Formats: sequence, C-alpha cells, structure tokens
Amino acid sequence: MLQKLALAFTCLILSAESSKSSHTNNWAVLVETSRFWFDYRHVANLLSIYRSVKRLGIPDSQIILMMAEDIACNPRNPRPATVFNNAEQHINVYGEEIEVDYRGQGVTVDNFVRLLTGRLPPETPKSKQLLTDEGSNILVYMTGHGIDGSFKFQGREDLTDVKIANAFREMWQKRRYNEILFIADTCQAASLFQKLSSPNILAIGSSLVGEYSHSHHMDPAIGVHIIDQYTHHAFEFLKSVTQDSDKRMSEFLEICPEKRCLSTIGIRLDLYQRDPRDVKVTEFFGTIRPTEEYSLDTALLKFDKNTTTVPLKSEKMSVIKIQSSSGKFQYGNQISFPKKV
Amino acid sequence: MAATLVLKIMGVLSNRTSGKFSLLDPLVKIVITWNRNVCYFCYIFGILGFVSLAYESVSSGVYISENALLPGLVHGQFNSESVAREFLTSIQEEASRYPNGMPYAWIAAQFQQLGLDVGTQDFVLRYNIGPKTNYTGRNVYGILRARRHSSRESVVLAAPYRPPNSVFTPTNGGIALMLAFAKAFRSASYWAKDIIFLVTEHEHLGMEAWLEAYHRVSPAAGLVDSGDLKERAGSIQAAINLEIPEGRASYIDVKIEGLNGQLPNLDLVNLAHRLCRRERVQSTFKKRVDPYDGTSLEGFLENLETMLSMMSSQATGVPTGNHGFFHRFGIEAITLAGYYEPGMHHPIRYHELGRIVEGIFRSLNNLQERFHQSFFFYLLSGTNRYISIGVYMIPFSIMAAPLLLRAVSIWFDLVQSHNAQKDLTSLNYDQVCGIIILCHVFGSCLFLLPSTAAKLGLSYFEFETDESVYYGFILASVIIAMLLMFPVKRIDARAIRCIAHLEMATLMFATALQNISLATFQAFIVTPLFLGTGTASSRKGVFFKRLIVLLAHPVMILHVVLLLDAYRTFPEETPPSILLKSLSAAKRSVMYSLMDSFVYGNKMYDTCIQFYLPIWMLHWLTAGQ
Repeated sequence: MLQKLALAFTCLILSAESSKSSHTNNWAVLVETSRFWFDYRHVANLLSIYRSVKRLGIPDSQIILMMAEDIACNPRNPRPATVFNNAEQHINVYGEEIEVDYRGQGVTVDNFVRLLTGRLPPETPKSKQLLTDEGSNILVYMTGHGIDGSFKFQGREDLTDVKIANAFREMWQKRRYNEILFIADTCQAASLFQKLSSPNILAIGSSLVGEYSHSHHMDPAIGVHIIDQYTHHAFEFLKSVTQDSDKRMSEFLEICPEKRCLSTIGIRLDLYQRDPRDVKVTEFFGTIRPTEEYSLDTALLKFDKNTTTVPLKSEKMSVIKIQSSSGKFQYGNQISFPKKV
Repeated sequence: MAATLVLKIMGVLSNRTSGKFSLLDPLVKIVITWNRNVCYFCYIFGILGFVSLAYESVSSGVYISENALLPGLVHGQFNSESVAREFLTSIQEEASRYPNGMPYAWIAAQFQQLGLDVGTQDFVLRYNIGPKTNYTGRNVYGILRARRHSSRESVVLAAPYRPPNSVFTPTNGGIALMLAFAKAFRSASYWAKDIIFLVTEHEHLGMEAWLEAYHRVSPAAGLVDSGDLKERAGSIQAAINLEIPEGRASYIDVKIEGLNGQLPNLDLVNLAHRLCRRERVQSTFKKRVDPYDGTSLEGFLENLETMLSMMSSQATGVPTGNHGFFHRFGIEAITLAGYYEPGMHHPIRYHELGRIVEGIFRSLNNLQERFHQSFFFYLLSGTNRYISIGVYMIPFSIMAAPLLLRAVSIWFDLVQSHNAQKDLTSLNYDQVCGIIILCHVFGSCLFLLPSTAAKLGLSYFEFETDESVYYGFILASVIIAMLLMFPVKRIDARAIRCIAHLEMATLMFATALQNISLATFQAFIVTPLFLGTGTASSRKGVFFKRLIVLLAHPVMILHVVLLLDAYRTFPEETPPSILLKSLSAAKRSVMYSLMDSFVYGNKMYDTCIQFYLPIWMLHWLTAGQ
C-alpha cells in the first residue's frame, strides 16, 4: 500500500511538474579539432565555453576537454601562455588552471566516438573517460571546420553525421545520458545533427546547411580572428548566468539572430521532450542542486479524481519514465493508476 | 632507329589495313586538301586568342588562396625610420672606402652586434672557356633564430651588394632596411621560423653560389666552387630580395621571373601587392601601373603590353633579379625593387617599406606548409589580373597545332601514294634514318665547339672569347648549311619533313610546360617559316624555300630580335648605329648564353644547340625538295 502510494506520488510529481529536471549530474564534452595557427578562434571558442561551464559549477573531473592545437604555446603567439576571446584582451580564457584531457594528435574521430560510447580500453585513465550514467545531462560542444554532413578532425579525418547519430544512439541504449545539449559552432553546423534519432537531445547549430559560420571580430595585435559569432554571443549570454539564476533555455536559443550573426541558427527540438521554456540554462551549463522540494498539497491539487489518466502539461511530452515495483524501467504513453489509490 | 621504326610501322599499317583505309579515304582526302587552310586558320586564330588573353573578360582578378596568410591582419610595429637612416649613412661611409668591393667585415660585424648567428661564404668561379680566369667573391649572412621554436624552417631576406663603381644602381637602402628590420624584430617572441639576412656579392653569381652551398648541390656544370656553410637554418620556405636604392623611391616594382622562366607562387606575389596597397605605396609590375579602366581599349592595350613585357623577359630564361635562383629549390621568392620617378606623389619612407616587409614576414610566419594553394604557372597582365595555365594553353595549342596537322597530312599523303603504288620500297629507310641521326650528331658536336673555337681564336686571331665563339658559330653554321645542300629524293624529303615537324611540335609543347613565353615565341616565329618549306616546283622555288628556312636559324633570329630590341631601347639613334649596337650585342649574347648555361643551368643554349638546331638542319635540307 505504502509502496503504491509512493509510486503514485512519484508519478504525480513527475506529471505535475512535468518539466522538472530529472538529471542527477552534469558533464561537458568540449571538442576543438582545428590544427592551424589561423584557427585561433576555434580554441578561443572552446575555452570560452569551458570557462563558463566551470564557473557555473561543473568540475574539471566532469569536463572532457579535447583541444587539437596548442595555441597558448604556439611560437606564433605574441602573448605566450594566453588565449584571448576578445580583442580588448580582457579575459585570458586559457588561464592558470586548465585541464586538457585530449590534446594534439590524440584528438581523433576514433577517440571521440569511443569516449562517447564508453568503449575505451580499461587502462584508460579516469580523466579521459566519460563516466556518465542515466541521470547525466551532457553538454556536447564542438567547434572546428565543418562541411555538409561532416566535421573535420585535424584537417585529415571526417566525423560524419551518421557516426554522431550512431554514437548517441549507442549512448541511449547504454543509458549513458539523461539529456544532451548538442552545440556545434562550425560551417553548415545543422548538417551534423540531421541524422540524430535518439530521444532527449536538444541540438543547436550555428549555421544551416549551405551557410558559413562567421567570425565575430579580429584582433590586430595578435593578427588573427579571435572568436566566432555564435560562441561570442553564447559567452556574453552565459556571463549573465549564475549558479542560481532562472534563465531558461528558450532565451539561450534566441541568442544569435540572423541580423547580427549573418548565419541562421539551426535548432532541433523534435527529439527533446521538454519545453525549452521550462528548462533552465544551468541544467546543462551548471550543476544540479543536491536537494529538491515538493509539497503534498500542491501535488494533490493537481490530481484529478475522476480520470484515470493524468493530464499532461505539454503536448511534446510523449514518453514518461516510470519505475515499477520490480525496479525495472518501463515506458508508457500515459499513466493509469490502479483504482485503489 | 626510332625513325626507321616509325616508318616501318607506317608501312605495315597501310599495307595490312589497306582495305580499311579505303573506307577512310574520303576523310584522308579532306585532311590533305584542307590542310593548308586549316593551318593558316589555326595560326592566325591562335595569335588572336593569345592577344585576347589580356582582355579583362578572359583574364581573372587575383585573390589570396592560402587562408593561413591572413595578409595585413596584424598591426605593423616597425617604427625604425631613423635607425634605418643611420644604418644607411654608415653603409655609405663604409662603401666609399671600398669602391670596387664589398665591406664584408663591417656587415658581418653589424650582424654580430645585433646578436645574429653570422656566417660568411667564399666562392670561386672557374671559367673553362678561353683564358682560364677565376672570379672570387664572398657572401655574408646572419640568422635570427626563432626564440620558441626549433630551427626547422626559415625565410630569407636578401639584398645584393653593389659597390659604388658598379654599373647598377646601389642597393644600400635595402641593406639598411634589412639591418633596421633585424634590430627591430630580433627580440620579438612570435617568430616561428628563422630569418636569414643575406648580403650577396656579384649579383646572380653570389646568390647562386650561396644556394648551391646551402643545399649542397651543383645544378650546372660545376664551374662554381661554393664551399660549405657553417650556419644553416633548416628548410627555406620563402625569400624576399630587396633592391632599394639609396635615395628616394617612388614606387615598388615586384619582380617575379626566375631562371628558365620559372615563376613564384602567385600567392606570394599577391601578398606583396596587397601589403603595398595597405601601406598606400604604389606597386607596379614590369614598372607599369595598372590602367585606370581595364575594360576600355586603352586599358586593354596597356594590359597587353604588360603581358608581352612579362613574356619577353620570361622567354629569355634569365631571372630578373636574384630571387630567380630560389625557385628551382621549391622556394618561392620575389624581388621588391624601388625606383624613383620624378613627379610621383611622395617618396616612400623606410617606415612604409619596413611595414611592408614586416607584413610579408608576419604572413609567411603564419604558414605551416609551403606555398601550394595558388598557381605556379600563370601570366600577369597587371598587378591584379592573371591568366592561369588552363586558359593560356588553349590559344597556344591552337597556334602550335599547324605543325602537327601538317605532319599528319604528309603522312596520309605518303601512305596514299604508297597504296597507289602498292609498295614501300621506294622509301629509303636507311637514308632517312641516317640523315636524321647525322643532323643530331652535328648538333651535339656543336656543343664542343665553344672551347675549341675560343682556343683557336685566341691563338691564331687574338680574338676575345666572346668574339671567337660568335665567329666560330657562324662559321660552323655556314659549313653545315653548305654540307646539307645535297639533293634528296622527294619521297624521302617528305618523310624527313614529317618527322622534323613532329620533333618541332614536341619541342614546343614540352617547352610550353616549363616556359610558356618561350614556347609562344617559338610557335609564333617558327611555325610559318617551317610550314613554308613544302615542295617547290623550280630551282628558283627551292632557293626561296631555303631562304625562308634560313630566317629560322637561331643566329638569324637572335640578330633580328636584338635589332628590334635596340630599336626599341634607343629610338633616337640612326639606323646604322642601331645596327652596329645590335651586332655588338649579338656577339656578346652568344657568350652570355653559353656562360648562363654552364654556370647557372639556363637551358636556352642547351635546347637551342641540341634540339632546335638539328630540327632546323632537317628543314634546311628538305626545303623545297
């Protein structure tokens, strides 16, 4: 009886606050794959997101940083050991404390896919593994050179959209994520998530198929383009986000209008059950709070006695996870409660 | 042997497939009857097509292909105008002490004080023709090592040293700029490549000697003993040669033509022009400013003149500056030469020149691979218009096609006449083969001519080397021409002519791949002359045909070209004096061409004597027969 009551309440909570986050931990996989000095801006992109994510609470142990070119120590860098993302050079995004997990020639398609799917050899150090579980929200951020349907690694290899889709599908089957926010800041970025079919993925690309992604501005003191449009606006937005701020993903999706960014943002929402208006930015960019509260009264008020089905708040939510008494997971379109509640 | 094989194959094919041939008979008839007209048409159409390359719609606008260059993106930091001027005064003082030589120790000391790794190289040129004289010289260079990178790659900033008594304009401005540049940027931490500052002596010879020593090769006949270099800096990626005069300069001329007509990568040329534009410095090509409106008729004519000017300097195969010797090592190089023209706006200061050189070097610094994106074969009709190989090959091929078409037509005609007579025995394979081999042997023997001619000339006639070589060539040509005036059977003559046409076409197309200008001029001059040597009916006709072929002799062409050049360079002189000037130039030019070939590896003399002259002999022999 008590078990059934607990079950009912869990379901109520799930349904009543149907957009409540269900993740338990946050990870970030940040990838940069360009190999040349004049791709300074890709590394600046990467490190801008890295710094934002770190500031909002994700620890280094839960961030996988893949950086193909060592810009900070490149002999061409007139300010050695620094990477700036702004021509005014306010912020050294390289910083004093940085933990790069995959560097130089270690950034390969093979390593990336193995990292996502968990098929790394057992002797791989823990810092190089993605130790996620079914409650993990993962931010996957990729920047570099892209073409229609693929993403260039080190100027040599290609990571195709099919491979990305397969990797995510394998992750879903292995219960390696709860939700994924996939951001690509490359040319023709939207082509990278065309083939995705796994649920709970919110995908953003900085340009549509057939469009270039543009750089934001160049730094004449260093002599390179220093940051890309999309990441610049993302960084500015994330600057205004704190650990307990209430900013929603819907605001994040609007950050780079075509008038300013010269390319159209591509977004894929069909695989994502929740309404972005209900999702906080910190659910992907920050860490989860250790406690969550609910009150019985609010839960009861929302329960309709006459129906056996619980009204759903959002049309988009079509899959609910229920934990049955046997401990196994099932999926169902609607919840039907036994009458003896 | 090959000729015999070809003829035998021709015979076998026609005999075996005589049935098949009758099906193609109408086609063969058309080819033979229309051949003459088609040849005229192709030649004229080819010339018109080539001329149209200068037209704006046919040529293309230049652009930077290599994204890594990021030209002009970084702020220039060169601010050493006064430092450069001080260096210039010091250089001038020092140079006045050595009116005929180079102040080696002073330059080396300057490099040393700037903290560069200094090296010197002694080289000797040993003449093997005429009196055995040796010319010695020394190059001085300093290497600025990249601070945070291993010395695997480098770029070169070079300037030729010209003593006050030399006939050329002194380039001490370039050396002063080089020293000021080294001083300003020796403490910069962002160099990823070493910079070699090189001061060479004796113009082309010094640069060639330095490059041979650096790469430890000897491309030419080994006349230059270059020694070895102690200081090296890895593989050289690019080179900039400076010819900045001491006084004022109004514009920068970017020179590109290299040895044997090889050109630098177009990206480097465009980089230089773009950086000049950024610093608001007038940059020119072939000392000509771009026309105001390229689409108008005047603009088209100006572009055409620029293109022809480039072609005439590329065709000689002689580099227009010291940069020309880098190209065959895979090093892209250009020369920035400053010229003064009274009336042009404001003279260029070292400030702007320094920023231009700095900009070029910062862009070269960004590169992680050699230049490979842009064109290596092109023609320029202005500083910002180019014609790529894919475009210029078409009119050239049309212009050079008549020789091939005529060869095909002669072959068809021969086969047809053989079919009619049903036997090939009238064609004397041995004589044909023998004549062809004989002519090529004559050509090879002429290779040995210069040294013997010089020796004989010196001992018997007290001639200078160049005079004895020149007279020797003329004498040898006359003797060979008289030897080759024996009559040949008509059918043999036609077979020989067919093969000679094929050989000439092969030579032209092969040259076109390396040096399009030379090939175009070959096609332009030689095609009508050689095609005019068909069978003549009377003895007078044979005489006239022989005269036509005589016009195609290399010495004859040389004289005509030099006469035209003398007329163009000295328009105010009287015709007899122009004639005398061109004759004296011709005497020296044979010797220069010879020495160019021995010392630097310029292929003009070699191809002329070993390939072109035998072909000429074959045509001479069969003219009118």
